[in-house]
Amino acid sequence: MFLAAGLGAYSAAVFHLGTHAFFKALLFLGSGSVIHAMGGEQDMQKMGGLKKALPQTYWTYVIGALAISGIFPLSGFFSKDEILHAAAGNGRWLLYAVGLATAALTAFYMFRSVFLTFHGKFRGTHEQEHHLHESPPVMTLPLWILAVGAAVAGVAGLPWDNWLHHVFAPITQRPAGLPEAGEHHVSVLLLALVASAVAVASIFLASRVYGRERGTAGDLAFAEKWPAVHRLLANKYYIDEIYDRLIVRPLAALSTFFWKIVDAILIDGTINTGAATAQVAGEVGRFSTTGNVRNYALYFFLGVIALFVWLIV
Amino acid sequence: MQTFIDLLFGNTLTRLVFFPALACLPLLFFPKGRDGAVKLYALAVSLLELAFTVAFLATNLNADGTYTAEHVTRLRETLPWIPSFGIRYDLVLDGISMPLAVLGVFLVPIVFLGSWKGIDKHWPAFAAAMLLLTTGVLGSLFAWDLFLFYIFWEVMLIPMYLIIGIWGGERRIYAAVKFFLFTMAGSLLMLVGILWMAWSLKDLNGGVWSFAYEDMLRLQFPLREQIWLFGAFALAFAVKVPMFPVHTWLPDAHVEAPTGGSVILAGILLKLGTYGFLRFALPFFPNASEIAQPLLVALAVIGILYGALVSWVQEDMKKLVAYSSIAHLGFVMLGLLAFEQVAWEGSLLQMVNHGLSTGALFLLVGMLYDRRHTKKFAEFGGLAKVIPVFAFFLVFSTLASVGLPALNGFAGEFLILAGSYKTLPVPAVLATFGVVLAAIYLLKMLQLTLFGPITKDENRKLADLSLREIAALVPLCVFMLWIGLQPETFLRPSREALNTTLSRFQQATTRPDVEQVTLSNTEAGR
Repeated sequence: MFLAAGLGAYSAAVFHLGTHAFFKALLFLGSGSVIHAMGGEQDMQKMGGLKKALPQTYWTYVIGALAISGIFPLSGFFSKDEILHAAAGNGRWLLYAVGLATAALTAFYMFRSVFLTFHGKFRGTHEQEHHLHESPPVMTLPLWILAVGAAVAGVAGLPWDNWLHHVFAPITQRPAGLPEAGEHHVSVLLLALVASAVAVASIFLASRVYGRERGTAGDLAFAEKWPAVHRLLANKYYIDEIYDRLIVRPLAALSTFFWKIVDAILIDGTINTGAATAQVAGEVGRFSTTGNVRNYALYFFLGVIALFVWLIV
Repeated sequence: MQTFIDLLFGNTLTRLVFFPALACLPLLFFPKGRDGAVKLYALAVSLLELAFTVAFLATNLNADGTYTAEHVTRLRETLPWIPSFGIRYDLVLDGISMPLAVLGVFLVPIVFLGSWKGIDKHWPAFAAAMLLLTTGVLGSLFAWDLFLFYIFWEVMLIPMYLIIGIWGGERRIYAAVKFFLFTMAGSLLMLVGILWMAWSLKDLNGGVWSFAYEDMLRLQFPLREQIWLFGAFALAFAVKVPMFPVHTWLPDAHVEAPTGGSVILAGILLKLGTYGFLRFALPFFPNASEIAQPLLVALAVIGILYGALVSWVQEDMKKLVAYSSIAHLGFVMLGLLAFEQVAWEGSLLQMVNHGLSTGALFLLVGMLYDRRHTKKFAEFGGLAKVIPVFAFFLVFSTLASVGLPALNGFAGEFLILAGSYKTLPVPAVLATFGVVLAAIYLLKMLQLTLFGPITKDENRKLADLSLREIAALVPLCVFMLWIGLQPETFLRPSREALNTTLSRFQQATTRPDVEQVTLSNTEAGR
């Protein structure tokens, strides 16, 4: 989406935003249905073979996964293609390559989730397996509605008759300096074929790694072969940890410093010292105020002597 | 000629100010041990006072919700009081004091409802303290004579001192004395300032004393003198706001104060500080304000960020809310110091907003305390499952405090930031981080109390809010939503008064410095 917007292909960006709304929402709701059936379990490593128990969830999920992978004729095919076409049409081949690679990865990881969740053997506890059930219609009906959307929303932006282009034409004046799309004439058909081939290849690869009874063996092999890479990826490139070390912890330390040192010691300490001084002065003053007339006579006498000394010397 | 008695029995400001104080007298005659009757009586008095306020506004506000200079002159209630010193009994309601006065009156019945269980001794005295406090607050807001203002200002201090000192927590005496000394130290210097100004007026008027607001407004001091006087006023108000570094009385006062005390302290007393800047310190001494602006802006921004950061690391729920007040009031001060119409409107609105949302948060903390007798986060967690109604109100009030669009905090903060960006871009940008920090510390509060697993068995069987508690919270939430959706309704009555004050200020700051004390002739005298 951002790639398209950055290329100035606003209509394509909004198109993809729209199709994405269908299939990503579908995939999230499908995951929800699975998690519900698993009694709150979210770890795919403990799933597998859910196809039988959750047929409706399975089929809608697969539609979502195919759509997001850009398989013809589902919606993702059209919207993703338009973005790739915009990149290629502008001669941004590097961006095109990144887009294509990402599409390949998307197809791969989406079908990894399909195979791990719905195919193979169940890897959870016996109790969970017993509990497995299809979600009620209140959950499956939205899945089907979104599945239809994910399947057919592509008609909003058919390459040969792009309805969205007409809709956005009045507001999508291209910024000055950006070349018109299609300056480099690249065949839409050729690009579509390349993209589809990449997606299909990725899905095939996913099925070879995770399909049938293989389960998580592929992941384990990967972790064994490249442990460092696996750790980096499993920890989301450590971005949360980096934020934690660089921002959260220093800020918390600073805040505690403000509270315990500045507030409690610097400000209140100064004020309490003042109060304590006044109190000590009061105690000293009280000590002299004995109520004993002879003491007062003594102070008076000492005062007179002091006065004499001062006057004479 | 109208007399005080006439005023007292009319639909007047005098009635609004003195009714709560007079209603204290019957409290002397309640038999001992009849706290139930005292509670109902106190609630009835506070509701009647609210009705009086509504009646006053309904009679006098224009149909379109505006309140103009014409009202201010026509509805003035003035009587000679100590003529030999030119001291008058002089009450005025204008667009600046109106929202705060309404807020103050509105909070009192809520405070009584919220204290129903929490206050378990000396109810007649508690009710009397609250009602006297109302008189003090309204008197300070309406007084148009600086001597009268000072008296009401000090009247506020004593009931609050007693509320913390009698009904407070373990360290209540320390907190009460600290509150009293901080406030008193600032106020005394202001008294000196007021006397100095009255004295100067006497010299210029050929020996006739005056404490009148308008007369003092016309005084033009040389810069040196202005700076001293501004310092005296600013210190009194900065303590009340409170601004960094004179804020440390606030967390102690809030933590030790009973729920009702905290609500009224955060809800309205703190606003008297920012009101003091807006009404007195800035308009009286425009040139000095201009010179002090960078320092005060810096302190306001420090208050926002410092208050937010310290709030974030608190382990006590009430202390977290107390420190958040410092941050929120920092926004109000920033808006005032921007000397810009939009920012001023935002500041005034934010004073009301803070009273509503922080008032609600203190009530909620108190309700939790009534049930668990602790305010430590470590004792909570997962409460949303046990007491969902409580959770709803806590989330609602917290989001209002965070500044979620469609709730009141957003309207105020947005106007302040948008307005002050025009005149103070860098501080406004820095202050914006305060909004982010507010989300961090307030959501942390929700997380630690409402969500996650239930870690303490005592929490499994908590009773949810009673009807009485819900009745205390609903009015606050209704206004949070109403202001959030339709802020214009609440901005309109104040617009003209703010504009007049601001343009007078701007005129004064563009004039060349005066060499000696004079009276400005740009405005007609009284």
